[in-house]
Amino acid sequence: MDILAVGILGGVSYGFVLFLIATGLSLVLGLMGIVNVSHGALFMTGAYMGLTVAKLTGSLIIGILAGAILAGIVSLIIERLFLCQLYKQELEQILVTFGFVYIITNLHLWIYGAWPKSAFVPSILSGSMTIGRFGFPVHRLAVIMMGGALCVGLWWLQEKTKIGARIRAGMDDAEMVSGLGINLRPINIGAFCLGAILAGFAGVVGAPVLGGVNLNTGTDIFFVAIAVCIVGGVGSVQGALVGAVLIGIATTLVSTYFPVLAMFVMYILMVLILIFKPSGLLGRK
Amino acid sequence: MDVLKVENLSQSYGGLQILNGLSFRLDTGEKVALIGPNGAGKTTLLNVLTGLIPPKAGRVYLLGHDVTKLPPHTRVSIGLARSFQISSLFPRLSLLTNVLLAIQGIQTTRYQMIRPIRAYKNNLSKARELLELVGLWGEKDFPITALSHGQQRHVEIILALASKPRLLLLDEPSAGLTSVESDHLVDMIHNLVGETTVLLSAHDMDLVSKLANRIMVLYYGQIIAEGNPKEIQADQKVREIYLGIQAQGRERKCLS
Amino acid sequence: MTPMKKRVIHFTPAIIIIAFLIIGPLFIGTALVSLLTKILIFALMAMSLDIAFGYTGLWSFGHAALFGVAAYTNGILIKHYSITSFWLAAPAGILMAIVASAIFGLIALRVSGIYFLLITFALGQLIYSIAIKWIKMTGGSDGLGGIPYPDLGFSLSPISFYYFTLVILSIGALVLYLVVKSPFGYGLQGIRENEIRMRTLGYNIWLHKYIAFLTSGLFGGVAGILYIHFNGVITPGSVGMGASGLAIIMIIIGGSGTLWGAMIGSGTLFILEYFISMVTPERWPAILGACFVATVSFARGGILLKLINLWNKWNHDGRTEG
Repeated sequence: MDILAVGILGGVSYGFVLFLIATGLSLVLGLMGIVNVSHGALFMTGAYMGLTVAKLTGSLIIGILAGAILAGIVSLIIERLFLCQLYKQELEQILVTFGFVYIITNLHLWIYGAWPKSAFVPSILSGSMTIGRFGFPVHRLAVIMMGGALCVGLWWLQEKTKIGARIRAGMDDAEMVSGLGINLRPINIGAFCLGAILAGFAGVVGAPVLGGVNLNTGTDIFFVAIAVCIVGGVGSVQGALVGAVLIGIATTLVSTYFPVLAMFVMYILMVLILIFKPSGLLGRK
Repeated sequence: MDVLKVENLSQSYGGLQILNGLSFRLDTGEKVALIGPNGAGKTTLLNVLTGLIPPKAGRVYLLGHDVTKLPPHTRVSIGLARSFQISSLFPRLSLLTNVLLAIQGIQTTRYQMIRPIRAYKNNLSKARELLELVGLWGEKDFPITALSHGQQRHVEIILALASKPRLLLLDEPSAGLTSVESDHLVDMIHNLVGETTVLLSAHDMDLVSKLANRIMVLYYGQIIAEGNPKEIQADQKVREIYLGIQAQGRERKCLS
Repeated sequence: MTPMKKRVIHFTPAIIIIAFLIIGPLFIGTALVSLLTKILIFALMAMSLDIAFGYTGLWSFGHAALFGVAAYTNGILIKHYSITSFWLAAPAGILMAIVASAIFGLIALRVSGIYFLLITFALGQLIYSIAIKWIKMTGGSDGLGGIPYPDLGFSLSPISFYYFTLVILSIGALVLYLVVKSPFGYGLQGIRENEIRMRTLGYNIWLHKYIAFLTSGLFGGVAGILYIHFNGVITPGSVGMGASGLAIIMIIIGGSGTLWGAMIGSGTLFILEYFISMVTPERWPAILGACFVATVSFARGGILLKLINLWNKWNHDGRTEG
């Protein structure tokens, strides 16, 4: 029983990390109709910078800020210098973000070298609490709480604020929204950068959950985020949450009992959803 | 025989009822016009008949077959064709290719993967015929983007005619054309359609009276009047709707 | 100027390239022959992707998986089952590529556009994961190595393998050219340009897309077989996002929706890599990424389009029309 409890809690903490990344991806996909392929690379950017700064300053919070802000800046560069030149050309925008994966990953190789980066866990969060015969790391609980808080905050943004209403309207019918005189450009840019900031944040906070980051982490986590969007449905905070927690728990439980198959859990879920409900569990269409 | 039979067709979007229990029939050779104010459901009806959106209720029969649940391409092979209100062509392909694609749409030729498309001489001469009808054979190698709006409208119509359909659906054929271009188009359609059964949606009563021998007036998803052009123009209900809308239009202009 | 002379001038660049491909290798060293062989193999891989991507408008981001399935099948047969005859192992590999395309297609074509992109992307990674985890069969991250040149009954050298590759590429390119110029091929372009219109003209677009996807997988598989014999080894890296991405980059840089573009893209990419690696091999991915982003943003038609425009301009300046 306690194995199960630890597994589920672990899965939830992993799920919240996934949620943070997937929300940004889903938001951009629903609003701008494109996949930000560099999203995983931005996660890595935040992780590397944030962890470096955190270790230098000894403060997780400063590290988080550094990582999230850098990710936001990089995404702003991509958007302002390139994406806005390619208005309404979805494939081309996707291809640009794809090209940036090469650039960003290689720059990280240059700056940081090929060695993986270990996570930073501040002393108050180290240590574990006991569940039955097992210990459950406190930092994972912290991730769950932070993730939960952010989830509530993002949901409130989506449902209860004017900006959220505009975002939801923009996803349903961008032409109508523009026709009503609401300028969607700053909202799109904001969503794009917010997604990146969340990914950067997730990079620093999620590193201990992932066991450190390396140059492949960006790519690996990007594909899990895709699976989350497909399974949970695109365009809403709740879709990303459902997909993320489902995949998080399923993957963690399977890796406890059948480690070799853990990697395939998300693919199986994805294929099932595509067969039975292609728009995703909480998909808008 | 009924070329087209529609029974109790209903369609809604969200809470909005767009088609409300429509029933009508088209006999062979009839030319029927569908008129009505914007938002009355004309394009939605054509989309349902084409198979692009399924109805919420009701049935559609094409040449005796129940096509209600069938996809567009099956309906086309049975004998339907459709033109669009906003020209729906293949922008970066040449004019000739556009027409060839339309011609082979109902032929098994479209699955041929080895012989070049230009080797199918029959199709080439059919394409030539169609293009010469609208005087565009000289422009056959131009991309669509090089043609004027009026020329594109002409192409839009001949694409629909390419499959020699039994039932032709025309959605606002003269949309966006000047009255001179519109007259030209009307003459062209009049000469081309022959025995084909036609259902066209339109705004222009002039065009309608030249092309159609029966008119159905669609208002908020229901047919509120039916008859020949003279009868319709004299119909009290129809006059109210059109005058009512004109009055509303004047009011709005004053307020804004 | 006579029409005949015009035609000759029009085709001259192509003729020069083809002539070079046939005669050149006899005069350049083995290293360059190797480079040329690689360019040809990836040209075929890119061409096969272009059928789905450039012509049909299917945003297939997992093409390397099909390429890799053929390569791995071939490798597994040779290493684990001692089936070394090319005439058995190669068709088996291609068959597996077709089977994989058939399954991928059924899953991915349930959606279109961006979602199709995401699914093919993910399916590609799935194959990559299998390649890494199924160590007993695939050798895991180390892959399958020690694959010799194809056993055709006689032995091959680097130069004769080059000509072997050239022959296969030529046949493949010819077949793909016929497909592209056929009614079916134009149908694919119609789908890319205006799917709804194609539906209302009588085309079963799902079927068209599926056949295009299978064709793409078939020729991708052929390229995969050539690759494993050329490289001697197949690793998961040739199956995942990196390799799929490379194919897309080649198509875009060369010019998508044109078979020659795939060839030019492959040539440009590997020749650039060759020279840049002499100066700064570690920065190559960043440079490649930058070139790609630049091409997409400022020269979307690719190099081929620019070259064609330049060539036409050069031909028409100062010459009288015949």
